[in-house]
Amino acid sequence: MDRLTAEAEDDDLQMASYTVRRILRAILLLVLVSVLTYVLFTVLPDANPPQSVAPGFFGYMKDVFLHFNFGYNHPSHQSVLSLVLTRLPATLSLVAGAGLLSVALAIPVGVIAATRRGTRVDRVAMRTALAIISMPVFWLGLIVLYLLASDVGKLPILPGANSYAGLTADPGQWFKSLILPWLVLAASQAAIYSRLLRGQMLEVMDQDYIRTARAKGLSEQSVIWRHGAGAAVPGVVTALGLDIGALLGGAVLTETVFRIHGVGLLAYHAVLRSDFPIVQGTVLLAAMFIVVVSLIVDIGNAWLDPRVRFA
Amino acid sequence: MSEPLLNVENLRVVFNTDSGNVHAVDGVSYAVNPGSTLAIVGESGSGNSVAALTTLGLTRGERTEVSGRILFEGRDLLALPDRELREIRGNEIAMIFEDPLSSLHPVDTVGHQVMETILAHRAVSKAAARDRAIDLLERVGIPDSHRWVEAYPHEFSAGMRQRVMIAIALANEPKLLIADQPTAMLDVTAQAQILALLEELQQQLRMAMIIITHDLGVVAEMADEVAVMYAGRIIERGSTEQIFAAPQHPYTWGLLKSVPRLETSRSEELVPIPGRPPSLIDRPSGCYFHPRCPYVRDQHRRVDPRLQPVPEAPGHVVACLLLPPERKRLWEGLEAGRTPEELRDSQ
Amino acid sequence: MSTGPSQILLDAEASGEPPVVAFADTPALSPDRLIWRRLRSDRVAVRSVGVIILLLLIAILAPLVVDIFGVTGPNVRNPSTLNSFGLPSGPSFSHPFGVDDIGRDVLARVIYGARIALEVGIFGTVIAVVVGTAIGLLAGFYGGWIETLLMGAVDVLLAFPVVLLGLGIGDACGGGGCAGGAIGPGLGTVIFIVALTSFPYVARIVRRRVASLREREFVLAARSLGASSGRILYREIAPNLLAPLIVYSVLLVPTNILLEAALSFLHVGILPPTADWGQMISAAGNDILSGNSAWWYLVFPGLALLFTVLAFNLLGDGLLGALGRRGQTDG
Repeated sequence: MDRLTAEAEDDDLQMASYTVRRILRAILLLVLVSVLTYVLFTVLPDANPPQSVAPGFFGYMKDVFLHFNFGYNHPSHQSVLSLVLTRLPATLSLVAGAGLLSVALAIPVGVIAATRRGTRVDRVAMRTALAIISMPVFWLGLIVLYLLASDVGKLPILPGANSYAGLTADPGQWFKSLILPWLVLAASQAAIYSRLLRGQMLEVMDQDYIRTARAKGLSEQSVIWRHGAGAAVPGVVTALGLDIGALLGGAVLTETVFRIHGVGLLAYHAVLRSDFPIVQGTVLLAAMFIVVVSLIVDIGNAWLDPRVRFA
Repeated sequence: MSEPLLNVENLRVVFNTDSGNVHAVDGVSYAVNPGSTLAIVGESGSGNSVAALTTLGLTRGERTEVSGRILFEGRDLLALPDRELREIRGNEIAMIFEDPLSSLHPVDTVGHQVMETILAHRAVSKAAARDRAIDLLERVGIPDSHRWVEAYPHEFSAGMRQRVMIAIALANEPKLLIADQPTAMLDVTAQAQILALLEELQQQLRMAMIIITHDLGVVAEMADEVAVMYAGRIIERGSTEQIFAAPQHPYTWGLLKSVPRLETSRSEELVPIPGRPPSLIDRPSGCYFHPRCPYVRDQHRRVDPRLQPVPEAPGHVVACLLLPPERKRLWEGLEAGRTPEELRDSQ
Repeated sequence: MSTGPSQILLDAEASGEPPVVAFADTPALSPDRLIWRRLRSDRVAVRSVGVIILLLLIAILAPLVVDIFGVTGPNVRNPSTLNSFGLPSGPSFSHPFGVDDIGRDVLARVIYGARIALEVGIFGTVIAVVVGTAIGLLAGFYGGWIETLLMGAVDVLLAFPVVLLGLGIGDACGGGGCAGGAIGPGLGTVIFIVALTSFPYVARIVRRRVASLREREFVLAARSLGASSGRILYREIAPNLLAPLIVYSVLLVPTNILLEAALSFLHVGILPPTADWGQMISAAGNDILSGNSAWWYLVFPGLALLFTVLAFNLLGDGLLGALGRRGQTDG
């Protein structure tokens, strides 16, 4: 007998249950991440005199979770958390802009390379992407500065390093100063995702439901973009969301090259000054941020693609 | 005799692959009359699906050579540009596929997938299309369809999914429905229901149907005409009665004898056809079936049989080098319960 | 550049299944031979192997190569190459790649830099693969709480952004070493960071493979014949892991080389005066941003990095293609 599956009736229940499970898991991860940070920075190094680990550890955990105290930077009389928060907007500007730009670049390149598989367009696009992936983002940034920076470049057309201004302070300058960093960081990410997307598109276009779409008489554009890309893109965007660690890494390096005063540059300078609390606090905050972002991405994904909720 | 709705003339489809040229369809001709059902029977790999897919232009590609004519209401579909062909797909000619789970978009509601077909060919509002979709789902036997219209394919059972596919196909009341193994993935009960549904809808819409299958039970129940394909060619063609009562080709005998029927006596053995279907790249010489035929003669390895009419059976043709009286004797022997070996040795 | 897994790694992780080679009409070749044959006919992959071997030779025989080119050593300062302002000279006959800001020959430093890049890239990857495979095997095979525990630890590690984590550990261990002296500052720390950040990916892939293989018929068949767990692991499961592991390792190396360069660029990796590509780029960057347009010691180390990483990436791509899954570049 044809039976309509019972699960279909409680769509919302599935979603809620998945959300709860995911949140619990995220909380556990946050705790474990703090523990690991402690181990890596306090237990592991030989430089610190061997103190009894336990009181230090529990004090640390209390600090982090009860007082939101991630360390203190004595010279500047500021808590690590507040330091990070002041630098956060710059990093967010960089990361958000580059993230969006990389998706905007990757989608057309990936889809077109897939639909024109084997042609010159495809080969050139994929080889360029591979070359960009194979070069360090900081080198790419420096080359770009060397060529185009208004202060030191051969062809000065855009503001160079050290020209960053806050969005609220000077919107025009904010935007201009971010153009080169955005392009550099986005290029390196887009190179990865366009290749991924191409692979996904090729798989998707082979699927039976694409054949059904054609059999319905839909236009080829609709088949490629609505059905093909529509199925392939979310997977890649999710991968982007989950791999935000790589994006942050690229951001750190880009900030260092372009001297943008974000969280990455904060950490870098702290290392140069051997300012331990800042480094440790930044790493921990970054990891927590990633856990939260992954949580949001997972929940968003489950909401969009119902099949995920049964995981 | 009315003008056929679909007339396939000498269709040839060759795929150029790295391993060689695959002759999927090798000079196939058949016709379908309005409102009637043609079954194309054959093992997997006999090119039966390819012929159907080519009708809708779904095999067009760079490494595909297609020749011949496919006349639909007088127009040659093979000569039509993509744009015009698209107006026919999903509209005048529709298709349903074997695996309803993979053939439906996983992340799109069932209702929307039906609506899409409607909106592609009719200038109606989305609301109207939605209403029609709900109607269609109801019509194909999905109860409470106004609730199910927002559901996703994976929430349905296999039989229900196939019903959704049928709803999509029939949305614009096509004149011809091509069903590629529509019940292969279904259990026996669902199979019966889907076939009954197809029959009923065909009557209501006065629609012609081509069913591709290797299940003779489906053929017996649904088809008016049968074309048996082997290695890309039609080796026997006729009405259902003719094929079941007086089959002419040893391959057809093999198909009939490998499936148990109610009349089969207990002592009679089922005889599967020995061997495997031939490669479509490197086909046997002479009669394509000769390597597997129990009654093969020397001449059969060299001469390529053409379709010849069967005496006293108008519309029944077969491509076999054995003479009609010989074939009659062999078939009657098989029906009487003798094995092919016995019959061959008793020549 | 990717400081996390490259796209190919993400892709490789996503699929768990061995490829199906379906050629009903061709004579049956064992899957290994088919893969080998396909690999040999992939010109790009073959050339990449050649390049990698060449790089290894250059790295191992660095002093000899420097002599062949007739340039001064990587740590030899040549004051005569700096002009009256202390600015270095560019490419010339005696210094084909020019000299850096304190007069050291760039070609020699690039050659010696290959040593670091390949050492860290290859050793770090090997350690990561060994550790990751062990963990993945245990977790995938035994399942249950062992799996939860091990994979939980892996998940926690994966929550950390690689570059920042490297920065932190580099800072923590850069001073006096870590783990009671087992991890020394400089090279030891870098290899530790590289292995620590890459083994989780290996562990995940191995676990997924093993878990799926565990349920397959041939394992159940072996069990029903009384085979012990160890034997099953060795005979049934391990051979199925070999191919994807090799591919994954090849793809991990370039990621790790880039990570090493990034760490040196950020001054937490290999410290001066050891010649290191990332470090050279960092120094060159500083000079360029202060208006000194000595492009040669920015460009050449970067090209060396690009070249090396590209070779491994192309080889990895070719391997993926030979395994039956189309790599991201079709020919």
